[in-house]
Amino acid sequence: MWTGEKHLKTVNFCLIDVSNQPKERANFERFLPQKQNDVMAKFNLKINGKTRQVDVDPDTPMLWVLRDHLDLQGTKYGCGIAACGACTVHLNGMAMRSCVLPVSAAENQEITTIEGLSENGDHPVQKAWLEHDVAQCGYCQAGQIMSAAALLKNIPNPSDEDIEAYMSGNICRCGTYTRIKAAVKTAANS
Amino acid sequence: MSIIKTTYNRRSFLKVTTLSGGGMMLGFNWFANLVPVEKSGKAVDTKDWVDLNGFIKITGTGEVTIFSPNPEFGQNLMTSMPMIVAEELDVDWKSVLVEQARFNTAVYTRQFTGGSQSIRQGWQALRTAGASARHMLVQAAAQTWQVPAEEISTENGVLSHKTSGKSVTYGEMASAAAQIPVPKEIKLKDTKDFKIVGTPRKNVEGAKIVTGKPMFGMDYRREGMLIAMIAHPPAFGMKLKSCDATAAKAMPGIRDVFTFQVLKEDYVKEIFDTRTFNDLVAIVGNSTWEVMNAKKAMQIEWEPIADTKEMQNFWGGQKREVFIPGGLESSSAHVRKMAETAVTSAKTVRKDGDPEAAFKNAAKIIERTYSAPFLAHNCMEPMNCFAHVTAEKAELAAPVQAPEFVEKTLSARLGLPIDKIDIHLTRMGGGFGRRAYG
Repeated sequence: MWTGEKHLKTVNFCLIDVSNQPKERANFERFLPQKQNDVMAKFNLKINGKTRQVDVDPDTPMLWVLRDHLDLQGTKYGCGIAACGACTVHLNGMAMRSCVLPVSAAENQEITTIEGLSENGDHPVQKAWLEHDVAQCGYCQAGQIMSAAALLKNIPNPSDEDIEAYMSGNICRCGTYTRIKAAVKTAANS
Repeated sequence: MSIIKTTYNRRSFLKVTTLSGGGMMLGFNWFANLVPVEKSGKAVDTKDWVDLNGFIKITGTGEVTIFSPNPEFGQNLMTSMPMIVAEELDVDWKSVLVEQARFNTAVYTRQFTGGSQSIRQGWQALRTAGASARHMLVQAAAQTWQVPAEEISTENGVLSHKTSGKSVTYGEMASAAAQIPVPKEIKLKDTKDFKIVGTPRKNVEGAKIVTGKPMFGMDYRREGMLIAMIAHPPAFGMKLKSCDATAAKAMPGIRDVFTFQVLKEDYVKEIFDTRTFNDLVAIVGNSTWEVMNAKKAMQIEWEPIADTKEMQNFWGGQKREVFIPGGLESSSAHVRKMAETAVTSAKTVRKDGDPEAAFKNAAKIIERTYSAPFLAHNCMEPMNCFAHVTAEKAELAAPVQAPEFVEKTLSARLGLPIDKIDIHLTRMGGGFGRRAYG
């Protein structure tokens, strides 16, 4: 199932996805899937500090492994082409769009989802999100929070430009951008 | 301070009952039109519950829960509407719990979110409900303490009598309050005394959102459920020509592929029934990724539609013929149509002052044309729905703004009576009117 055309398409989306995150670009090659078959395979995954095993098509994006196979529905499906950011998770601490991250590329790496960002929902970004009452419908916010947490890990005191550049891949249809920016600053200062 | 009659349509707006285990439950209509009426009407009976769609529950332990009947898509009426109740009830907002009520046309009315109507329509009814519950708690305390009700004050869910120094929580007085007759008219607070309304309060579901709790339609899970995806035409104005599912059906995890009509041919559409695409293809399988792959493998041909006329029901029961032009709908066609319309003479709807003279006397006239493309009411959460349909009943969990309309359309499509259709309301990942359409 891993056709050449699809392969190229996925790479293209991923490059767009990380264009504002130069540190990730250098490491990008190692995330590309190595397997090119269509049989089911077992994968050992490290998710939120726990080891989980799934038996799926190696192409399956992490988003669907999380949502369909591991019952972790906090990571959201918006577009499926890395264009909206709703599915953002951390792969070894870096923000990645899980809808285009094949499970085969995520094996044995540290994956963090919104459910595992903090034990009690008290990560500085989550606290800042509540303080600024950022969410309206809330659907994109797990992705926004995961991106913001990764941003602050890379740049502890981001400028307005840093925030705009890093968060630009996360779309909010309700238009909560002003509060997102304010909350990122609050989290940076906490 | 305004005095509101608590009856409408000659029936009581409020109904009280004792909770099993202690406490009171006050039912009311979230959107009742509380115009004062002359006749007080008949005695309240249980059929009046039919008109109720909001509930205030005060348990013996003092827990205050307000059931919000309307679907939530981020405009935060699950927060703002209970705030109005809590204001008149005089409870500590931080202690109020809000729950999404189930969709049930047998019990609730107007479970619809849209048109920026929620606060405007709910304002008086919500205030009256809160004030009535408070009034009954005060009356219960007055009877218990044998003091005049006027001497009892309330604050943050506590009843106090200054002279005797007595005080009691709403929870402790709730069972006694449930025995007090529902007031026929009620005094509302002076707006200058508001402590909650007019102040910013945070989204009651904020903590669930930032920790990724499943709450949206997409998050709904049921043991044994399958995943289905719909193949749509690539543009408005197209319909299904042919469909070959051979390759897709042979793919791993695929259970079935079939074409279907969204609505029956002779069905007269209601105003919120979408008429965009009626012939669609469904791909059903075990998991989302398998279904997505099979959808890509489908060989489907679409063709432009021809000019069509159909009848549609509009507001107020009037029927209208709707003309649907043939061919693909496109932005360039919209622009062309706008340009054509712009040169035809317009109807004056409103005219203030003398614009002709103002233009004539202007030192400088700036003329510009601006255009914007078609803006879709796209939501971050893709359209989705859980459905379990049998010959006897249909059960749904759906992020929809207008479940009453969905239920009516489904009833006609499935040939099931309304009471055999059960819709569980989920939070919506955006609505914007898109989710008002079925």
